[in-house]
Amino acid sequence: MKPPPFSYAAPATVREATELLDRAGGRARVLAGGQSLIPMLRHRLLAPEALIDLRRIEGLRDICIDDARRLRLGAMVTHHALERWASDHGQDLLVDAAAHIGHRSVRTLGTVIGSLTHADPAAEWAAVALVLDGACQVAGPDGEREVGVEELFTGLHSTSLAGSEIITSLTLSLPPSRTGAAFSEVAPRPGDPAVAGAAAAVSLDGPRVESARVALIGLAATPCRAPSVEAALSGSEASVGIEAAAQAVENDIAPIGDIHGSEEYRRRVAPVVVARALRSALARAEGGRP
Amino acid sequence: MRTGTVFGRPVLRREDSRFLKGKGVYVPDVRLPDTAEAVVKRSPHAHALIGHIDISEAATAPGVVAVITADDLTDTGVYRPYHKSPPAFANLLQPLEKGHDVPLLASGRVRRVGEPIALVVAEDRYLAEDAARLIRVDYEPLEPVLDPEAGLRPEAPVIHDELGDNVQSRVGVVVGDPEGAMAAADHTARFRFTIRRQIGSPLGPRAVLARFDPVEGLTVWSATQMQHLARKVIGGILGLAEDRIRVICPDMGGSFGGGVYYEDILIPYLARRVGRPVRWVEDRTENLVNARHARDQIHDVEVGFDSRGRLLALRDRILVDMGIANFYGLVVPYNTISHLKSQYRIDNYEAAATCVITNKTPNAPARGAGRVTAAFVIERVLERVARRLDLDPADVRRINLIPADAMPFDTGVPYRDGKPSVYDSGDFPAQLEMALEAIGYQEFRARQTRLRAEGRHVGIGIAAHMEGTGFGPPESAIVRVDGSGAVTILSGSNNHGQSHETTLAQVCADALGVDIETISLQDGDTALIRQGGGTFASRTAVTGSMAVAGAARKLRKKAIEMAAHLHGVEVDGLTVIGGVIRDGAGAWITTLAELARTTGDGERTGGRAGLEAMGSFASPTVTWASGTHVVTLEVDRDTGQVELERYVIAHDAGNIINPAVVEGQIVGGVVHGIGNALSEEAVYDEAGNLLTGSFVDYRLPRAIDVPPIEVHHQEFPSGLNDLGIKGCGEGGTVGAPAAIANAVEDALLPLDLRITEMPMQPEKLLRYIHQAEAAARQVQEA
Repeated sequence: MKPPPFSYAAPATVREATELLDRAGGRARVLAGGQSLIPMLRHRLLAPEALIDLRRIEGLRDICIDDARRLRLGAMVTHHALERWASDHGQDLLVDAAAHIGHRSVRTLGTVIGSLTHADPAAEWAAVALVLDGACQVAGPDGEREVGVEELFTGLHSTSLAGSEIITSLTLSLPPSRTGAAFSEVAPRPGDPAVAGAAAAVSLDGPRVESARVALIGLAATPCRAPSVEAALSGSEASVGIEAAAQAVENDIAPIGDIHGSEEYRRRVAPVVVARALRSALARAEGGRP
Repeated sequence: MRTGTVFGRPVLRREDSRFLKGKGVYVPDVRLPDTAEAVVKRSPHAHALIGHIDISEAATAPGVVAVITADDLTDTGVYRPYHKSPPAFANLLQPLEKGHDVPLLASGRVRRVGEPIALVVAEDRYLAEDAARLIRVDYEPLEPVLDPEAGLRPEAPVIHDELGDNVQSRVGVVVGDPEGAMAAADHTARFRFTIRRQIGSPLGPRAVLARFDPVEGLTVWSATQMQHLARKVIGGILGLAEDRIRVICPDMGGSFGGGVYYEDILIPYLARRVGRPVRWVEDRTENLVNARHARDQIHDVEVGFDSRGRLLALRDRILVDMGIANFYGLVVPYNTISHLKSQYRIDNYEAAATCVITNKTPNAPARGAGRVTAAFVIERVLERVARRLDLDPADVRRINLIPADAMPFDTGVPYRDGKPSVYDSGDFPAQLEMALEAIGYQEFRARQTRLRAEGRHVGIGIAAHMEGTGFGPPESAIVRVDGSGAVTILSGSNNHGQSHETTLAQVCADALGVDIETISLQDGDTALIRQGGGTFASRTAVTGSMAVAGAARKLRKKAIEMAAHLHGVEVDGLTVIGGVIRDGAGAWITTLAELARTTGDGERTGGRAGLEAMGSFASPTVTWASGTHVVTLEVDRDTGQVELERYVIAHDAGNIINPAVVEGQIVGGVVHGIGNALSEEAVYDEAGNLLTGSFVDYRLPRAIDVPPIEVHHQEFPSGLNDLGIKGCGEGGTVGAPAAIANAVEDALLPLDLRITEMPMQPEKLLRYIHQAEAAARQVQEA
């Protein structure tokens, strides 16, 4: 670790943190779990003047169900903490997705919201948040606002957040009954960056699909929804529509090739991960498990 | 199994308590007062002319002690890589071997990304990194040569003017009448195999610390495999007598290949120049960009065979992508040629290798040097022959294996020392059956048929390997006993993970007649012993053990004579057991400790001073270890992902000093081979940048990627050393990629998939699958 020089602060409140960010005028970075930021500093890909560490701020590690019956988690909740909560509460989609994130050591340090703000197109939580209608509670010098996850990602590693804003928490709508949700991913090896991944939530009305939400990672510059797949599934006979719906994903993607997977490979495995996520989601919906 | 008191027993690793508790001492742990830190400024271009280098800003940056470029190196000798084969070999095969100088710091021209251009020394690493970024270099980019075939074309830019073209070396061998046998064969087939570039990646990157004192001379701490060679090279280039240099190689986080690098010379140079200790610690990206690149061969193969699958003739034309320099002569290309025939009887054989200079990192020996590619080629050929004739791949091996009664077997191919390659002992057919039985070959075939009906793709693959071990210069050792009875081994070899503190102590305990608990090993330090070869080429179990055994036996004889003299008894019948000397009737005479306390008294001992002896050993030629690998796996046809199920290896390392250590070496080797087979690839872009500069993209196997690995031992003693030992450090790696490739093809039958490349990442495999599916559709439509 040999970063360029920077100053460091660990404020006690969100207000202090946003003030510090504001004062740095875009030349500061927020440090949460550090699993992306620290390697970037080590390679000197970033040279921020200051790091604002969130570790001392109380309440950011909380996970709870809020008044609107939505899952709410704070900015310092780690991948592992959410994984464990999900496992205790039978939330299979979250458990599936967490298993693909790096390795155990990465999951015990890295944070869910840190991953969202890093806006990596291959980030597993982004697909989950898109499928579960996620919303970010954002604090800035001018107060608080809410940003839907659909509006968060604006491009490769870029978000709609201002430089002095911090996402303090994320809320997710957990799947209701007769809804199943699942996640599937292809990566060079388990834990490597996803070449293609899909999160799917399927609600059943008898044997038919009442509604479906599908989100993709690794298949465009940002994590994104798959409207063609969702449209193809809605109202279809669940057990017969999956393969055709999965093929429709080609209309929803614009993959970018890199060292982890070429554009061609990403196109080839996109329908595979969509079909696998849908099949698991459907089985869970039929089994009455979320 | 040959057993002594401890030889042959699975003694627990004596170095474990240090390593497992994090108490190892590595180069970066060595602290000297007033040490400055160095950072290397490297080329971002694969091929470019260098104009002006402006160091003015860097030289005056905070904390900077010195900045040097090629212009400052006026007082050093020339680094000219070794490029001459031993005369016995050169006279026999008349290879083409061309030499060229390698600048320590680029001058006028850079030839690869990562080539050192300047060094910055500062008070700490951060300041040195900051300053290195202030060095301005004017580049005029040139067209890079990144493909050996392109490098051979007449219009290709010549990378080293001294060579005249981009061919650095060429070597070939002919056995029998390959042309006639090929023409007469019932069947022939041609293949092109491509083995991509891979990197021998230790957990601990390299590091060098140097101190120069006008009285004491130069002391260098370096993570190298060969401290004595490093001393020689450093001395030659810096103009220092070898006795003025001490090279210490403390604990190392692995190595997997590699000898003496630029930094091993430049850091000592800097220490002398700035008059302070200077330290350089490589980071992971530097390691991946600059060190231990390996494999990278293209093979054009032609094979002739009969209808039973017997190989009648084999021809191979090999291109080696050498990178910008060949530091190891014909080691890699000729290892490939001399190991290609493997365990098989191939009477008519021709192979020729050409080493081509390209604008990449030098290609160097890494674990399984040259042999991984040889095994991949011959085993792929056998597998294709089996498919072509619709025969069981196991049967095709049975019919081609050298029978046990043909041992010792001369392959007809000279070894690198110019001596015949004679497989000294072994039973290859029994080894194959041992491996097949252990994995349950017939049962697997039945299960495979069942699973295929369910649409699942499981496969089994077989591959043999041969490994010429114990190569290289002589090894030496000193064994001494002190007045407390403590025994010390000083070895010229060095230990970077091979368990020498355990195995050499086992050899010593039996040869001297002491308890292993009383023995400790010191190695990796030129001050300990005058001559040492180092640890590479799976050699220390053979050469290091024999040197220790020689020293210990001499010492035992000396002790017995001393005891006889002191106590007025006959030498005959005296024994040394547990450090106690007894007479033939078992009566206590004295102890080694007591003798050691007496040795200062020359009058009493009859002039036999010092309870110490030296031994050395040079192997007459290599001794041949062998193995047969069988692996089962499942392929996901939709994604190209491979999941390994089980791995069995039957192995012959001759007499085994410590079965647990041998098993560890083999399992470690197989894991290395799994990475080579499935995930490790050094990828360059069209401009010659290495894209795989971290462990996120250079994909080493991890614990979760490795299936259960079973090791089964055969023990056919070598006749080339009286302990009967063969080496075992690399064989696990050698056969693994071939076995895995064969299993992948087997899993995807009845698709006629042809794997011609390693590694086989999921993306590549899925491309093969789509190609085979498209071909199958075409056949159907026709």
